[in-house]
Amino acid sequence: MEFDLVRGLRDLSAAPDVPTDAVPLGPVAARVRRGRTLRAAGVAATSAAAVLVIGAVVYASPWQPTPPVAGPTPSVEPTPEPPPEPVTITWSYEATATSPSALWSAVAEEFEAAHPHVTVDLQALDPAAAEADPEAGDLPDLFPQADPPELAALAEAGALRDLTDDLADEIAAIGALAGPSTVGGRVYGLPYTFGIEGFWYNPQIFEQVGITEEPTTLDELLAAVARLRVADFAPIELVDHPWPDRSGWTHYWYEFAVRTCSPSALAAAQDRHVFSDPCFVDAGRLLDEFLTSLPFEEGYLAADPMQGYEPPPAVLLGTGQAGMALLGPDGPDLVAAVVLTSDNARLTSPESLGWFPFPAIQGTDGDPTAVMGTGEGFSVSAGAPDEAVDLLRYIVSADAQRRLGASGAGVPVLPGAADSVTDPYLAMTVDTLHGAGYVQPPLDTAYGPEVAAAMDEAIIRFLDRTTVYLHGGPLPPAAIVEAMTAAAATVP
Amino acid sequence: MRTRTHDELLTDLVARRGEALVRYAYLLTGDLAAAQDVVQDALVKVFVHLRARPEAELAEAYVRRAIVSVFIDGHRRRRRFADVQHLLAAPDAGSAADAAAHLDLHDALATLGPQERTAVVLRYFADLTVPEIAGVMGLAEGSVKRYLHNAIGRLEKRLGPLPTLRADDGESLSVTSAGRRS
Repeated sequence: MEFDLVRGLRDLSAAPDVPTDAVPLGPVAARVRRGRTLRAAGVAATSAAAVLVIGAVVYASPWQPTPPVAGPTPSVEPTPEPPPEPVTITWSYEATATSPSALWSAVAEEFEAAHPHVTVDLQALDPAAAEADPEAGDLPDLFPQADPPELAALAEAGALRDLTDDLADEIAAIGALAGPSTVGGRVYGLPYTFGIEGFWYNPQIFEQVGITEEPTTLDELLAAVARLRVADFAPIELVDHPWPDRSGWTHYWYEFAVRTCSPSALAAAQDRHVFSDPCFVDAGRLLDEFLTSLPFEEGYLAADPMQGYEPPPAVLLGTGQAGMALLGPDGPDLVAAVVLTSDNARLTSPESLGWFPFPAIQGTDGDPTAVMGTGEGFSVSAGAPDEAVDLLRYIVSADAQRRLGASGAGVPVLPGAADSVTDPYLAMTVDTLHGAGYVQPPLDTAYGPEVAAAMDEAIIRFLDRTTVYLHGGPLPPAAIVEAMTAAAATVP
Repeated sequence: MRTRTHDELLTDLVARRGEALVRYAYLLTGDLAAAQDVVQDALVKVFVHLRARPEAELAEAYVRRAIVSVFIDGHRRRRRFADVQHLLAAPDAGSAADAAAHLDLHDALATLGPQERTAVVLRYFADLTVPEIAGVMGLAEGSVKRYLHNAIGRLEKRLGPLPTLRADDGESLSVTSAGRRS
């Protein structure tokens, strides 16, 4: 009996019942949009195979943010209509799986009801609903706030409305969380939610090995690592974690920098690409010392991003083999996925998780309350009617913020709305978020793709002690800063 | 904002070719849910890196290549809670009512390693030449031949002789065999 393989493969591919929505456009488009902003065209963030495949085609010319309105001028009239005249506000938002679409629809309707002359044209930024073409300079009146480098480019091009004075009360109310919306001391957007990263841990294991308090300092974290190591647990699972992008390795250096550097040094790095403060080298030295405590699972070096090997995220934490993992707000989802699919799951339920922020590092200039995370917010375009600012004020009002918290879609930025958060995991992070003295977007996002690519590659080469870069050995801490400085010099 | 034109391309590609891409990935994964995940990741990978706006056919070619790399990377799914529940409730099976041949091939492919399986799909489904496969997989041609040779051997154990291959691949495979014997 002979078998026709060519035909067999054809038949096999035709066999499954592929649902019509097999590829959900909304989530894919949202990930793409986010990825284009977040992902430096970095080798570090891309598997070797992907570099070979995609690199041959597009990697040669790393993607750069096209300043969509850096041209002469946006083709919008700057003159607002007098109030009695009918006004239409175009408001676009990113329609992701978790975006609070229902809330935005309600907010738009309520705003219309309160302002009879206003029509709110709410557009889910699903590509299927393509309307205006921003690349032609046609920005909606209210639209998703960009990450720092692009926000600065838009602001400098005069495309954004300065909200500093109009929304002074709202800005004051959220304190440091307005930081990532600020360019040169002026505010060009307002977040409505923020997600921060931290350590998700297994309280049963912590108790078993005698860790009675959540570590708040690096020394306490080292003590916890030692207890876990002695008890044969992987102290910290080094997750190549998907939030906000594949960043399991690089985020350790990011966090050490955020804990080691003063807010002013971090701001200078973000705003002007100045990395000369010695804290950036100190951060690498401290991380170097931290690594000598063997904090990560054995074999983590084999989880080599350059070779494309990726263990499932949070698999050790989810199966009770690791004490903790540094993850974003989606940490519990990852653990839940592991618990549900693993035969070896010792965590009885995803509820048995605790959270603490990345510990402070004593003896440095770092703000112990600094957090690293990613916000979602809106900017107002320069030519938008004044009513668009009023609408943004309503979006971040206490009432709308409480409804956001209750929806489970994210942590509201307004401290007064803290108790509205219903999601038990998000609730663990609320106090840290609202108590933050400095808010740092992930450094790759904050520094732009050119610097991020050089930075991430250098961090990987710094962290990797054995497998990848045998030729030159691991890089010294100062080399990371040198790579960043050199890359920054190439950015116009 | 700036990605609107890419968005249109993405929309178009997903609408017209989404199903075909999933079927293609299914040959690699043998599992429909995993195939959907691979396609999603491949689309994200390509469109995140896309600079110029290529023609639709070229974009699809990029995505097909990225599907291979995502699969070979052993990229595990990052299923959110809801997705996992869905999978538990309705475990993927492709098709209970399928002809036995499908199931035989499905099971036989499952005995192959990811590299072998990919080589087979690229060669006999995507109809790529050995040098093309080497380019896509980032391997030397000799490695591709070895994977194909080993894969055919394993498949034949399960499925019986695979005569259609001799016409177009006798040469490359026999070269490899000779090399291994010497």
